[in-house]
Amino acid sequence: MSPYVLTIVSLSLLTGTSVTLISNHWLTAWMGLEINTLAIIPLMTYPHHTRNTESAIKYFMTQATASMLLMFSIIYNASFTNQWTINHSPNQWASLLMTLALAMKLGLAPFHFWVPEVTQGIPLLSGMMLLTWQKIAPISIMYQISPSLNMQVLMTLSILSTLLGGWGGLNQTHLRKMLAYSSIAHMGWMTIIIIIYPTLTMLNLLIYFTTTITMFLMFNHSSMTKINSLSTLWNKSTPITIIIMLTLLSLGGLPPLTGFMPKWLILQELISYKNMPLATALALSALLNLFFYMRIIYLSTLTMAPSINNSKMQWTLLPPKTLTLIPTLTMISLLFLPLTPMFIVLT
Amino acid sequence: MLKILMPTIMLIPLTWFSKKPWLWVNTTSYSLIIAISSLMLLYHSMDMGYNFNGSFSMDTLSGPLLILSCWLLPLMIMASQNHLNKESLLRKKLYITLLITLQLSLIMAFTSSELIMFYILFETTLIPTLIIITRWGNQNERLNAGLYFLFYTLVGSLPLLVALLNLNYSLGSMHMLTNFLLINTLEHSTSSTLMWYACMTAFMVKMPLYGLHLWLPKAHVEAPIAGSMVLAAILLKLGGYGIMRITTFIEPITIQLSYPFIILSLWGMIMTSSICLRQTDLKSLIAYSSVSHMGLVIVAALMQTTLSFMGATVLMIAHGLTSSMLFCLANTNYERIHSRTMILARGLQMILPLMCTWWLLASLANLALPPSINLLGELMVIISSFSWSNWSILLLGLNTVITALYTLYMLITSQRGKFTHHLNPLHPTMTREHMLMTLHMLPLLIISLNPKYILGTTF
Amino acid sequence: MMNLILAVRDHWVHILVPMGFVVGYYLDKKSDEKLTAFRNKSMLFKRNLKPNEEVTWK
Repeated sequence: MSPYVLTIVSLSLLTGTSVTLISNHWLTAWMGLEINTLAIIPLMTYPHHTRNTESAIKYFMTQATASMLLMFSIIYNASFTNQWTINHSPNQWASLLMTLALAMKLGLAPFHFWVPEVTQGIPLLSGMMLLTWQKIAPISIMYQISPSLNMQVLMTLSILSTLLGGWGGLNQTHLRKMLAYSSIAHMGWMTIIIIIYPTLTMLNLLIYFTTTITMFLMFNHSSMTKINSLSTLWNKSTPITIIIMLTLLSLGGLPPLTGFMPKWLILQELISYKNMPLATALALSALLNLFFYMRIIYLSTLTMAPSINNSKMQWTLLPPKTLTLIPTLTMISLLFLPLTPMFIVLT
Repeated sequence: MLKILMPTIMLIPLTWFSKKPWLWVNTTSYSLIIAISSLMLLYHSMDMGYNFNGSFSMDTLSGPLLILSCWLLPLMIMASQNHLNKESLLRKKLYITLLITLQLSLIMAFTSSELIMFYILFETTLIPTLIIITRWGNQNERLNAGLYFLFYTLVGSLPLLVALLNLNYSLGSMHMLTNFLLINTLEHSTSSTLMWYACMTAFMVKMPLYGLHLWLPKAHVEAPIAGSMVLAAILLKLGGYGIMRITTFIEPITIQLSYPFIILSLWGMIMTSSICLRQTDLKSLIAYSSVSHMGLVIVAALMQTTLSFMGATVLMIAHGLTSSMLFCLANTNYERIHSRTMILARGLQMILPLMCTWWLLASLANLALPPSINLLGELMVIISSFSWSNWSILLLGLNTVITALYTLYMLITSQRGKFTHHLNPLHPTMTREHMLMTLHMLPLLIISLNPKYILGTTF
Repeated sequence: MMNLILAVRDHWVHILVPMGFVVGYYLDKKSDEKLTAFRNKSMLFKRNLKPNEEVTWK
């Protein structure tokens, strides 16, 4: 991609999210979402390939549907209340539709089918953008209207996504699909708490970002897209295999790694609302995710040489890429559990 | 407290900066020094226990277990030398680092004074153990064993997290030393029953209770020697320790709700020790014998009497040393014969006579003969359960007989009988191995001179 | 002299664990002092504060 185009595309990506973040008016917020959607499409399709194009189309269709639904609910709300400001609590039906539209944007179950398909088709770094940066704008709108979201619907969607995000990943062999399913499950964790305690959503989003970006950067380092290319990772970079293991355990929420912090706090909030069955179901659904992370861990780390390996050696077609950000992100995504009080203050 | 923790942390740089010929010597000797210095914690000048600082405290229940986990680190390092012989220096260092990390998290788990902190450290022990089992185990089944280990424990313990957070919400504090100050009585309702089950399941899986024990033989059989040792000696005790800690927070419904668990573990003791009678796999036999002995600890910890708490504490320490020693002995066989099958290692008395002495001593300790502390523990548990219900003596007595039977079966199969000829090129025993057995056996015998140090909180 | 330097270079790792003991002992002592100073609220367990030492509960 030529630098001019890249500049324009990434600037508009930045602009889209920023517009949504700073807007007080529904129309500009919606516009920000649209700019965001359109700006990432060149990034998704860049090294031209039919799969990329297919993914971009799928992404565009779902996002357009969601935006249309959102626009409809905005107009519906405006026709009832004569209000275009976001912080006004919308009409009941409008808020239901908004919840659904934003859920579709975020990829919550049962609107989650596009996430793995789209992520699978596009390059690793665009996938990273899709699973991290693209979540900011919809989550920020949810954050702003969180008191008026439809609680029952959102809770149902969230628990469904944590379950299906775990379930769907069990059968996958592609790393990007696995991370997409893990994203669905994490979105479930974020949205379940957004009505009760929106700050925790932001905390969870931050920690999810650092861990996911670490994972994607490590996969990008030696251009791995399939689970069996992981089993020969140790001769390209052994430390990365260990980091992959620990980061995945953190993503799965095993104490004493950072990933336990948002899970702990979210469970605590749910319990302070006396919602024990939901908390237990949520906690146990994280195990489904951990199960498919364990498969990655087994292949990449715990069966490395001198264990006998059944996978073929991969051709190293591309030189290993940069590692600059990985150490810092790894530290954040592994060791920050003791700093929990600081995080609570920060967010 | 930090007197123990800081040197243990410093063992990690010691491992990584030691030169190749000094690696084993340095780590073993310094961890032994730490273990010996931790013996100071045996002495308690107060009834209440020490509050080291804001988050760590220790009393007479956690003290012996803490010392046991310190004591086991040098033993694990000594036992793994031969197993890691062919590995590269880097991997040896990594392995020792994992053992030290496990030790650190165990020390902190036993001394943490908050239940949620205990939970976090309880889970922390999973990661190094998982890596030890699945990375350094021998057979392919180790991967399965690792999954079983991880998921059994996690499925059991996530409800515990929910229950703990709920308790924390209703009590406001979960400090172990001050819990008697909190007004806390659970009423008899479905929700508090469920909470009791949630609190217990994690520890029952960890102990393990009969029926939830399937992960244990797998993990034991597949783990390398240090993994088996630490699993049998300390990780199982986290369960017993947890039960004794958490029952004080969920009074008074334990009395009613513990019946099925007590019956199940009494029955499970008979079942697992009968399974031992027909085992062909040496490590699996020892693993099932652990399950059977831990059944006694569950019974004792759930009966909630003064004597039974004492018995449970003693039995945990005694079983920790005995089973770890048996695993070491099994490993010396395994390293010579390269098979865990007992029938392949018959008549070893002829070739390794001194090792036969250790086998004899370990077996006698396992079937609770005096003067080992195993006897003390089992007697206390049997007496207290007899006063709980007279009929339990039937099951407990039967279990004692079967324990004696399978222990003798193990001893006789491996040591006596005709020597098989395919075993000709066996290399003789090493001083290291004798040292290892001595360091297991000595505490077992010495503590029986004055067992009050390990009698726990109710003494 | 050379031998000493060589010995130090080869065996400096032996300082690590004793250093851990010393640091641990020092930190323990500090936290003990902090905790026992708190006891000065009670008449029974009171101890004399050192010069310049302040009470911790203000």
